[in-house]
Amino acid sequence: MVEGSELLDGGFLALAQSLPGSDPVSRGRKGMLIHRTMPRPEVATTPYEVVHRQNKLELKFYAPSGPVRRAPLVVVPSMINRAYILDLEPDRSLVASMAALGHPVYLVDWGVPGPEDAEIGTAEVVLDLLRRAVDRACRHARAPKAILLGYCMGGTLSVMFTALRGERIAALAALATPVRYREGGRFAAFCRSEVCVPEALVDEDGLVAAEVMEPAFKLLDPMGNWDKFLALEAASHNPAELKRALARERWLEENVPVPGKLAVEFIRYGYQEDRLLEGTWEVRGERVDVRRITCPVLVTPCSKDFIAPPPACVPLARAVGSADSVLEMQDTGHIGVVVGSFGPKRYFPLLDRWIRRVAPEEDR
Amino acid sequence: MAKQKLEQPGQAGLLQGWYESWERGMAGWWDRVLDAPEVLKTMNQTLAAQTEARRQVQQTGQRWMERMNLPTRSDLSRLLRIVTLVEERILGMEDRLLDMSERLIEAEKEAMRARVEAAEARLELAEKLAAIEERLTVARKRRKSEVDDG
Repeated sequence: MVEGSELLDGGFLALAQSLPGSDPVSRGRKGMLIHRTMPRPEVATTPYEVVHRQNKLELKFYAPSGPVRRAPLVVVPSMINRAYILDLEPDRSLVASMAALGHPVYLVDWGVPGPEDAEIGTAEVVLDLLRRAVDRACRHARAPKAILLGYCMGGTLSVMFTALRGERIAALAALATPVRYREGGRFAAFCRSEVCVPEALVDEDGLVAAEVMEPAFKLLDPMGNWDKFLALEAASHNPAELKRALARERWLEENVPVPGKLAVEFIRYGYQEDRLLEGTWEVRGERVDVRRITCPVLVTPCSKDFIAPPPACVPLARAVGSADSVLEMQDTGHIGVVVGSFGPKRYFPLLDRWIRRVAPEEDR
Repeated sequence: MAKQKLEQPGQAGLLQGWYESWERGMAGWWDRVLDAPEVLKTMNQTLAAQTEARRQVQQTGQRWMERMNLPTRSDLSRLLRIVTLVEERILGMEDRLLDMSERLIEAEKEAMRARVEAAEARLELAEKLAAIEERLTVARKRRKSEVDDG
């Protein structure tokens, strides 16, 4: 593990800081040098146990403090990034915080797909991989039902799963989860059928390569690509801050490819045809009808989110068939909600209170 | 020197102001550019061209491996896909085994409950029999004493 002080000891950091000028351009240049040369810190340090494996998927169990008396919390991240975003740093980790609050946490780590996974589509993900992961989490926790927390695209998959196989779901929390795709901001504009042919982005291996995904995401916030160098330079004077900034950079850099079939389905049925809330998205011949979600639902869009903007997330709260559907807007961004100080201060306590209300403690 | 010190914050402020207005201008310009369908289309075409180039490289590599009679990437992918399918089947069997063991545990619990209930019933019956026997003994004694007296 690279400590902040070791980072500061790095010769390149000293070199970067010795460069002349304190104007924004010079600071940006220093930030670029830091970005280019500084080693990335270790991430995902919370101890866990792998309780189930299928293909690349690993179900990671984070033991709660005290005896297991609550329903298992199954956390479903996006498939287009690494799952460790939910455990980036120990003091701001969603999985560690929820475990510390007494919840048995199970993180679905999708792993990195290879060419052999090219034919994995929504059906395989929702009805095979996710169904079995939820089942194994329930069996491991000896609970009849689980609480599902989906983040970003993982939220969309969780919504689909709950609509199709909701028997084992006690409650559903959708964090920054787009469901009304035509309101998906710049990414939706980028995926419109007039400008995008999703099949053309699938390579010989049947994957949408990480090198293709990366520029698409950088385009969502063009100025952010410059501002991050300024932020790195500013953080370089404080070892802890620099470590935080570099951990985020590591996550942003470690993109994963997406199985071609899944990517094409999400772009076509989601962003181009907006089928989910229309009830016309079919998974292995079954229509996904979100009105069939009758368990308690917590919808938490982020007001500063440009990846899943609030207009794309908010409609879920009304579309579900649940009588207990809560909408709580979070005053932060898409990534900030899980890696920033906002998580431990606001979002994690909110999630904990909601779970305690909808799934009270039980004697085992 | 003192004059220079007084001027420095002003210069820095001016630079910061210029920078901020440049940043605002750039952000606005990017917004306009990225909202234009032609730009989005061109960007998509560029990514598609990049993917096509990648595909060509992958195909060339594949052909070379075939010429050398070595397993190609797609051969390995096919094999791995079969392994994944076998894994899916094994996990499907595991699902069924877990369900069966759950049902078995449930059935065992049920059988245990029935055995306990039967034992309790037997115990109750034995108690009732003992009570009847006691009453019979008392009645027999009474009858005997009546016969003796009488």
